[in-house]
Amino acid sequence: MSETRTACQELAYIERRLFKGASLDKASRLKGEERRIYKLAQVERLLKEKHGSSPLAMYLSDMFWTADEGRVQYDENPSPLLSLVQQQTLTDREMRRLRLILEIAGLCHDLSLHFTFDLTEAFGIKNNHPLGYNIFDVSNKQLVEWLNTTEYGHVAMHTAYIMKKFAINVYANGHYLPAQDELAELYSAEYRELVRQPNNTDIPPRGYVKTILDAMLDIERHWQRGMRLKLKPDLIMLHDEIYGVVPHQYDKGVLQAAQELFDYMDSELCGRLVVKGYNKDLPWDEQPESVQHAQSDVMNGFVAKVREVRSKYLAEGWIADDSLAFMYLMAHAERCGYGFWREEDDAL
Amino acid sequence: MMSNNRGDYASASEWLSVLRKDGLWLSQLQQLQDPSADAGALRAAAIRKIGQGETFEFWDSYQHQVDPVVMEVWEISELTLPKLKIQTIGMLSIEWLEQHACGVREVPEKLNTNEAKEVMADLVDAGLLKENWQPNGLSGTERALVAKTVCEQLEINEVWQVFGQLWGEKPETLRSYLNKALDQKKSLKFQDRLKNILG
Repeated sequence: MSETRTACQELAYIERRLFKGASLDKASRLKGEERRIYKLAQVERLLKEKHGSSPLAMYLSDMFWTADEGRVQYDENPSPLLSLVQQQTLTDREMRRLRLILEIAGLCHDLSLHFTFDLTEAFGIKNNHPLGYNIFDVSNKQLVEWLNTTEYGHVAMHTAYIMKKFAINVYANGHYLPAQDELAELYSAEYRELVRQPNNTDIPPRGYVKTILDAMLDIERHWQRGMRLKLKPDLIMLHDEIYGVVPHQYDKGVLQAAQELFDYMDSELCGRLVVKGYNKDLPWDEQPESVQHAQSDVMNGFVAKVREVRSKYLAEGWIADDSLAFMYLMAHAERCGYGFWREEDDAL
Repeated sequence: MMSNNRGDYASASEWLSVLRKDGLWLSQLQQLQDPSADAGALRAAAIRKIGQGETFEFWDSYQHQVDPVVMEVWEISELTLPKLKIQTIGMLSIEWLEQHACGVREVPEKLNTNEAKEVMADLVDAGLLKENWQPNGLSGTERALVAKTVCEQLEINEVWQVFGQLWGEKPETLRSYLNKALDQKKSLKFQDRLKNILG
């Protein structure tokens, strides 16, 4: 961005480069629903068209802000269009157009860089959250409905991707490991393709959105079914960890195995890794030898329990020592050993 | 005891160096070092561990180098550490097999001809294959193109079965790389290179 460009020149450049033939001046007088629809149509176009390998939407966002969340201006050479002094050199009509461009650019920024945004302002979806939070998950039925029916396919794809990213964070924080991994490496069986970022996929918009929503809904339904069955969150997780994925059902035998592991963890493991001399600020190999021995004993006890449960309830091939399922269980046991256990109140 | 808590590691490199000392990797290493082990089966198991997700794609594009793949996946920060651990053990296993591959894997009958040996020798001379006819740092798409070109030249119809057997890969995976290769511009350049090598 040129240091010497004035606000007026910069505005003219953006209009010429990105909004040619878009009737920006006329649209800048629109209000309410008409303005929202105009903005969405422009964002859709800018997400679809490319500047090099990135969407034009990102190019527009880059003209104003860094790639950080929020609206962070550049330390060096910030856009003259964001300077109040420079804005005073614009005519009223130019200011009106600039306001509209900034609204479009803001949504372009959030969608192309995958940050959450105000759903009411962007899509006209009513916010039912008591604290006014924007809900980017499948429990937001209005959002799901909007995504399934909208004509703005690229806006929907990026929004669905934001939802996937958001859900991965939720599952990561809630330690629901199979769900986190399922979404992290989500694969579309229909299109035989990984669900990559929307700029890097051959899956058509409708199919892309459906793949993400279906996967998220499957996980959500599975979790809710577990809740209805009065299963404790840690028990649901143990059940799914034994599978190594989020399955579509609750298997009786696997639940028995999970319950036995749950009981063992509850009585024999919870908090037992916090032994005398343990220093939480040191990595394991720098802990005193006595701590290492004691912790190894605790974890070895759990390994023995997993093997016992495996032979008692499960068929050959389940939770092999070098399997993902086994690793999930070890990670769960580790958290339990440090006291993170039965956190029903914080359940997903 | 290897922690599964991301916060316990300052970086991806630190995590990887801890993994290299972890019991699970060391026991895998023992299996790899066992002279009676079936390298093909070990390779197939390692590939299964890596899976077909994003990690696999990085691994493929980084030509089987483990460190940059782990750094990329770590940076994205979406996969759980247990899954990354399993995948990394798969990648380290392949790395070990590729570094220690000695002698030729059982050569499929169709490639056990004088004409085939000449063709493969040209590819070895060009540095695309190792002496044991295993790929020398080729990406998936490049491997598919080598397999296809060689089989065209030798008039072998069962391209993917033959090269899947030779390289210990699933035939369908190898074939899927060809579709991918045909979509990539860089494949044209590689095909030209193959034409030059094989005359």
